[in-house]
Amino acid sequence: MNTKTYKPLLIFIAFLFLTLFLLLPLLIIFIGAFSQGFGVFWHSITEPAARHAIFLTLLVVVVTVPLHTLFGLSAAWALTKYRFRGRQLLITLIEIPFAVSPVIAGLVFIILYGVNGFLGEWLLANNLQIIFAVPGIIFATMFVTLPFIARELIPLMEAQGSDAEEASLTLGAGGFRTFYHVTLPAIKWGLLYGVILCSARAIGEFGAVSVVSGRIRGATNTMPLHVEILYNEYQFAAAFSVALLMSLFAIFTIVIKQVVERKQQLG
Amino acid sequence: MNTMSITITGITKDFGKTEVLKNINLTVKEGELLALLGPSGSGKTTLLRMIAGLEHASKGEIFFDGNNVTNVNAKDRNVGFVFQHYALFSHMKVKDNIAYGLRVKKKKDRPTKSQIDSKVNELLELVKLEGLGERYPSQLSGGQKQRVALARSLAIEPSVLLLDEPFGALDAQVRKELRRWLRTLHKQTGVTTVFVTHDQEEALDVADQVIVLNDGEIIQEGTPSHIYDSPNSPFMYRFLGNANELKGTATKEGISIGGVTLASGEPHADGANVISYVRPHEISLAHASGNDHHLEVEITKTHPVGPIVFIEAKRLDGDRERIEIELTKGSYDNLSIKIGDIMYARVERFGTFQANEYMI
Repeated sequence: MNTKTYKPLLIFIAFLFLTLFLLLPLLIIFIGAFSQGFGVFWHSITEPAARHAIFLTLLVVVVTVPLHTLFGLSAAWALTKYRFRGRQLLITLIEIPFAVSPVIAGLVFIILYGVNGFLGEWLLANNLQIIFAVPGIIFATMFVTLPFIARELIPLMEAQGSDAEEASLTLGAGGFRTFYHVTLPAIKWGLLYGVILCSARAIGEFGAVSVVSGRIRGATNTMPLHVEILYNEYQFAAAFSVALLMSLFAIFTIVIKQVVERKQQLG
Repeated sequence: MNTMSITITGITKDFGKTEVLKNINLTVKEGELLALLGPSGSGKTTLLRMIAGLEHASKGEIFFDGNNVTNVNAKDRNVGFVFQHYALFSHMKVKDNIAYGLRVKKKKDRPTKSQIDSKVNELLELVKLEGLGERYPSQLSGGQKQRVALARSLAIEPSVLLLDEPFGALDAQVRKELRRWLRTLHKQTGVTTVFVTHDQEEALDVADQVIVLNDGEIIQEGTPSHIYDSPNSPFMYRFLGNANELKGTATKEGISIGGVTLASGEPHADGANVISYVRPHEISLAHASGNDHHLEVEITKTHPVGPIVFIEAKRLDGDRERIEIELTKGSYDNLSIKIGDIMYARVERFGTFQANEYMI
């Protein structure tokens, strides 16, 4: 059969799925958020519990993303510029968070740092709380978002090889200068792309965070958890309002991602 | 320019169990242009990278002008290194690529901005790229890129200049042009230069001295004409282009091949099995048998390519092996050779080596 026959069918299927599973839900969020007027929407995203959830979510992003930038750069550098035993294993390990369910990731941290966990007694004795507190949320988010930046950089740096770095070295530049003047400019768009994906995931992570957070309103609630709580309390308009705010974050990151992708192709 | 000699003593390199370089000793004289020639996997690039400090020897030492640099970091060796695939900084303009080595110098050694600018212009002129300083590498042709890479490496006034298959990624026409130009440039700058190539023609054309490597060992070294005129082994004959292999026996009179005896300068044990290597253009043809040492052959194929005619012939003695002959168009026409002609091949020059039963 001619492939042309399939063309309208394939396009139809693509649009059908996009409408059913993406556009319609987004529209519902929008309608839901404003179902009781702009006043309710505004109140829902500015009342203290909501404000704290937004603050906490941003805090998680601000801590997680720079750390993963550091990790991603180091890991990608080590894995692409050096050859060593265990290299392939490390590449595989980095991808584990993609395969493991976030809920399991959360549980692992409870087993490690919870009151009855391996390090629980020591933490308690030193008056440190990780589970049901902000550190736990950050740890769980760190786990889930670990691969994003490293995975973006590894194939990029692999493809670029180390000729330019070696050239810089023979021209008398040390390691840091070489990184700053040669490596970083060559990978900046890939790095930014990884940072965007990592941020988006850090904002939206629900499963792992919900296990370790304890959902204390005004203390350990991130935006996704706050949305769920509001929904369970039948405050639909409020739930949709916070959800809309998150969706706007998401759309914003996608727009930046598009711009970055175009730059990456050009440059 | 303060250029230096290079001395390498007992360099050995192993990657795990494979030895890529075995006890290499060599000297590159100050101001010399030396080619490291060898097939891929011969260890030539590894050796070059070691001189630059980009690779470290398992054993042995490297000296620049008598100073031991074996443990000196690449960034402190002051070598110019040119890569096969240019390795230009793609986000920097041509002039910034060239200025890079000067700009990253420590503050006390760094030239002023105007000094750097004039140095860059001087180098752009040297590599014949005046007016292209504002371009980005992606806007240049391969040949231009490689000249930028060269200018960049010369900016730091290197003690030695090292080039790793510098013309390997360029097409034939540009490659020929650039290698002549490299010779001229070398005369102008006088900097001690080592370049790696797998192309024997390139090595013989450009270098003052050639070192041939195979399997991590130096097989032969000398001037291009010495290397070409007196290959010291079957490997050299095969590597330096085509050679006919004629099996024979050593006798008191010389080398006996298919009933013909060729006078050999070199002594071989009487009765030993030997192989003589004869280059296709070092055979001449005649219609009549002469008085000395002519192999009887039947012409099976002729293939004129420009000024040269490639001829295949079958030996009519016991071996009936195929041999290749190259004649100039002129002598081919004079002889009016046709396929099926029975002719007499005279070996003008040859090299003879003991046949090794393990030899393929």
